[in-house]
Amino acid sequence: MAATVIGQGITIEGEVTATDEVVVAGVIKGKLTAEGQVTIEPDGVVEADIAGRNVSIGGSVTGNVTAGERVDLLGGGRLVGDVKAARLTIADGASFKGNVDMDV
Amino acid sequence: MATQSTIAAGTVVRGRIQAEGDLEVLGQVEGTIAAKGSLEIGEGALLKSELSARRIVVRGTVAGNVHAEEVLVLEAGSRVVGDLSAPTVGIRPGALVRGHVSTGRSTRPAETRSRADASAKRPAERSATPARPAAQPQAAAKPAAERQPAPRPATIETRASIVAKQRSSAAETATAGRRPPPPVVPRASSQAQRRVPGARGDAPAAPAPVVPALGKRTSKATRRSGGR
Repeated sequence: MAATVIGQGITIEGEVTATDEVVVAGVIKGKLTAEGQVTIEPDGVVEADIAGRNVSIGGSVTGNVTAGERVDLLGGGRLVGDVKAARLTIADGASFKGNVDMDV
Repeated sequence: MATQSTIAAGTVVRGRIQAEGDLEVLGQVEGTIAAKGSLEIGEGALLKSELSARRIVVRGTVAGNVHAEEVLVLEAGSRVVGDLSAPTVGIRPGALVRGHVSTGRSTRPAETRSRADASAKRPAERSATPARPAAQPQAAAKPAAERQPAPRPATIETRASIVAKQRSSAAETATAGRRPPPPVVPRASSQAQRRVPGARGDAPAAPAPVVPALGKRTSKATRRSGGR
């Protein structure tokens, strides 16, 4: 199955649920749930709680992030919200405000 | 807009989707989709939504009205339950449609309908608006009357008025049991009786200082007379 791509210029207000990968370069307000990889591109804006297996943030996210495996906050990425994941990387140049729960 | 936006199969979107460019839907959408570019509903897609876009190609299933600014094409195997409107509508053999189809230049049924809804709602709102300020002063007047200082009326009151009130309260308690003939009630007490509703805030125009004390005395008198 192909990935769901929310491209630039797309705005979704509501709930997005995917059984596969999701790439966001547009705007999502509401809730984002995916069973696969979630990628927030540098232009992507997400004002929603995100749940996925791997979550990679290069854009702007406001909301809690829950990942089954890992969360990567890339350089230039911006996250305001709590993170719950077994692994978390925060790259140089990323901004982050929130709590981290690594399930020790 | 360089990247093609896709709602993949297995993806469910509930809510509103607005697209500045093109959009391809292969999954499920419940809500409205408005695209400024082209909208492609792929095979296997299931939409319960109002669709509007410049160009629309449907290969999947749509439940809802579909409006295109330029062209609307229903490919073989597509199923649409809802109204279609576009300057040019193409329905290929094998497509299923249940609904009203309108072609031609000035076809915007979805918009005119929503405008009619809005205008239908507006008069109701207008009539509701003046009712609110009318209700507010009454509510505001009531606590103001209750807030009046209690000791002040006592100095204003004369002995005669107190007696009259006590009589009136006695008459009131009597009224609670049985109804005495109106001529029997003295004039002063009938006046006081007329003021009694003011204590409950029904008549905000009644002299405010007298009202709370009257309420007080009346309740005392009622208690006394109740003890008899």
